[in-house]
Amino acid sequence: MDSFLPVQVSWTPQTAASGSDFYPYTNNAGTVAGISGGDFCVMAADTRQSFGVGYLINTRYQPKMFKLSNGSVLGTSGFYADGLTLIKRINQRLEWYKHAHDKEMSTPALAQLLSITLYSKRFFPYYARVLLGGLDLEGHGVVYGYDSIGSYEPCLARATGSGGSLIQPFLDNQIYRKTPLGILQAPHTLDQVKAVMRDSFTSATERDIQTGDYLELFIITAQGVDVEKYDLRKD
Amino acid sequence: MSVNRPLDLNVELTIFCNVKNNLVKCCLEEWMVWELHMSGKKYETRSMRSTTCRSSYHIDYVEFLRYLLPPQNLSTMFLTRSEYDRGVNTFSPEGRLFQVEYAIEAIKLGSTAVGIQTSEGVVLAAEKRVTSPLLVSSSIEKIMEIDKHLGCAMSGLTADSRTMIDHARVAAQSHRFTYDEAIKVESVTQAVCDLALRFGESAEGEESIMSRPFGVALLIAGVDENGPQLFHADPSGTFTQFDAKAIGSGSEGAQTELEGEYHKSITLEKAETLSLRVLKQVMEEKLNNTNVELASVTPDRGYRIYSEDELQSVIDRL
Amino acid sequence: MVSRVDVPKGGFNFDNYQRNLILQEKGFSLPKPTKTGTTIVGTKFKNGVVLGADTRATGDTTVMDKNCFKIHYLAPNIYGCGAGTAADTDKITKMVASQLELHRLATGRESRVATALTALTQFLFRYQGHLGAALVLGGVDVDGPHLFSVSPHGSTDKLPYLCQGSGSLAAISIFESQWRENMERDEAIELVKEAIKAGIFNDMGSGSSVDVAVIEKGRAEVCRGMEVPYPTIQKVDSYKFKPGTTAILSESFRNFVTITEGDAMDIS
Repeated sequence: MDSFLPVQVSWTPQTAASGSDFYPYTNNAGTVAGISGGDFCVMAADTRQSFGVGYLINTRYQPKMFKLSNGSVLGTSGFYADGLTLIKRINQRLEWYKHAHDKEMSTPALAQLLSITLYSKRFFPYYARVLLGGLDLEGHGVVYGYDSIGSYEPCLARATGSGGSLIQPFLDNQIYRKTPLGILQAPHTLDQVKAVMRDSFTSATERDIQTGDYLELFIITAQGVDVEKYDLRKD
Repeated sequence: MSVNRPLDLNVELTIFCNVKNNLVKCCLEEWMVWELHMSGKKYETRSMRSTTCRSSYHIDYVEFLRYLLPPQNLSTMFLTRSEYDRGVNTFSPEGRLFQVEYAIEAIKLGSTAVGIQTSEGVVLAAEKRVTSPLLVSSSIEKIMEIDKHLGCAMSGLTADSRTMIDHARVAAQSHRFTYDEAIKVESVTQAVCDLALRFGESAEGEESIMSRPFGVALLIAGVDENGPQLFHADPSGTFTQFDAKAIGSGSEGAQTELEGEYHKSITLEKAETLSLRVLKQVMEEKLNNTNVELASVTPDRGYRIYSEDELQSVIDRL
Repeated sequence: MVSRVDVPKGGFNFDNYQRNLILQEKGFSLPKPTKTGTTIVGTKFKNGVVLGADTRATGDTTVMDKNCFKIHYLAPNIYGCGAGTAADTDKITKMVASQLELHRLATGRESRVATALTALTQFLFRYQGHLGAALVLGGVDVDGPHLFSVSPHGSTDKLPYLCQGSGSLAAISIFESQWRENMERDEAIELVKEAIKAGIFNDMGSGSSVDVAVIEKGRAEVCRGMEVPYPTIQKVDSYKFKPGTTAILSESFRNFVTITEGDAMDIS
């Protein structure tokens, strides 16, 4: 039968999915927050990793904060693969710096390095919302907040990621404590800051579906970095 | 004395000689300056006693040097010379890179520069050879700023230092841009030395930027988290840290003087006068506020070059 | 002057439809409606049907309601779980509920599940899927227990167990592995709870607690918050501000009443 004869079908690459259909990012969401104190810094992040807006949970425990070799902590949310790549690149730069200058990079120096690393991909950005926490040259706690293309500033308290907009106003109220009469309260103790962090995340988990499962706290002091883990809602 | 290959150096040379303080300075073809210490008696018979004599000699170059130099120096300097001093990146069988060694020699022709590190800061001083009364002395620049906290004095082919200082300045600014902090003195010195050996044929895929080694030595002074520091960088790309260091034609005498005078607790003010005193001793001309440069790098004020008035007040303290 | 009361004719108002299309073309997107990104299930058992739902309502990735009620009353013997656009499921079930009520008044007979199903599907089909309502409909009538699902376009399924919503994949896995025919009432409730919990934990669009409705011959029981699978995590600290925290920048008093004579009012 004629129909069994092989038919030469002309094929051009254009029939394949064209480049404009390709979307290279996925939002794995999650929340990161940081509060700086007099001689400490507390960084916090949930450990849920989800897949885009498909309502799917990839894993309940995938830490998104990383202790870097110079003792500061980098937290990422957004596209996890970009976050990981960023961490790898930063760690490599820390190593190079150590060999070139025979010292550990300070957190403020790392903050600048991170900024230009993000800006180097101005037109194909790392889809990562990052926070950097550590101690500055005087040993005071410091948190640097970034946008995904490298604009940054040091701040007292900062929250970013999917639950960031829920937590930030609470931190503004509890940490900045600004009133018409000025700052209300004496500087916060580590225990107060830890409580604010835990309660921030418990509350954010109630209202943000991409935040949850577990909370990790990285407590940075001159003695080093302590890690604490707490439960969050798992629904 | 055997010579490996015939030297056809029986050329006509104009010799400028300046005999002073047992120091004979001979200029061959104006730009080659040989400076020799006349310590042994046998050289004193040389008929160049007059302070500045200018005469034309038709001499055998080797014979001339043999007369001026102790025999062992002559043999190490010239008599093993062979094909191996041609290529800039070819080792001699004895394991030497002649062009690099010659480059180091070129520094010994340059004007003298001195650096002294103290706990309060670092002082840099440099001689300026004002060869003509018509020369505008301020146009000679022997001490330059690398960054707010870094200064640099040079000796040798100062034109080469442009490339090095430009590189150092770029390295310092790049560090500020990348890390929002001042570069360390050692790091900027390392950056300069990285450049020093980038001569000769290029590696694959890499642009060659220089055909010969630099003919300049630098004294890099700066202040960082490790305090005030002084580094010496030479054409071989080697750098060394010093409490006090002299480079250039008068370096031998100057270094001996520094070694005698330097002590750990020296103040910045004392270092200023010491640096000028040392220069004064090795300079041909009488030291004044236009034929030397003086600069300091301190934690408070960073790099600062002294004005003629400031310079004069230091000279007045001498 | 003759006063006239405008009696609304009912139905949808399309006045702004053309305008909104133009606005959308110009880049003004419409506000996003609340979606009950949901887990709803239903199963038949020996004597009736059990319906279940989670209680989370979301708007994009934000939880809009932590304890919303997704099991809607249609008739005393018929209930429907709603998934999709919250407003659509709410209003459609309410409309059908009133139609059924009127029908019962007119006929004096208990509503049939098929009647509710027909009313729902006809209405949804008329709107060609623009009403984002997916339902699990269950009830017991003269013909016994019935269970249906209704899609936003108006198609229906009739099955012994059913799931709808974003958590339906998680929930169906429970039914597929554990469902049996002719289960006892308690078994069926337990299975429904497990299915909803699977949705609550594994689907981010579903959460909070499990609501259950059990409908048997002559008896319907709705249990709000039958299970709260994850207790609320207690706060470590209290964030109440002390009275007087808000600064008083200035004070002024003004008398509105001036007593000029006489004794004060007797208030004993």
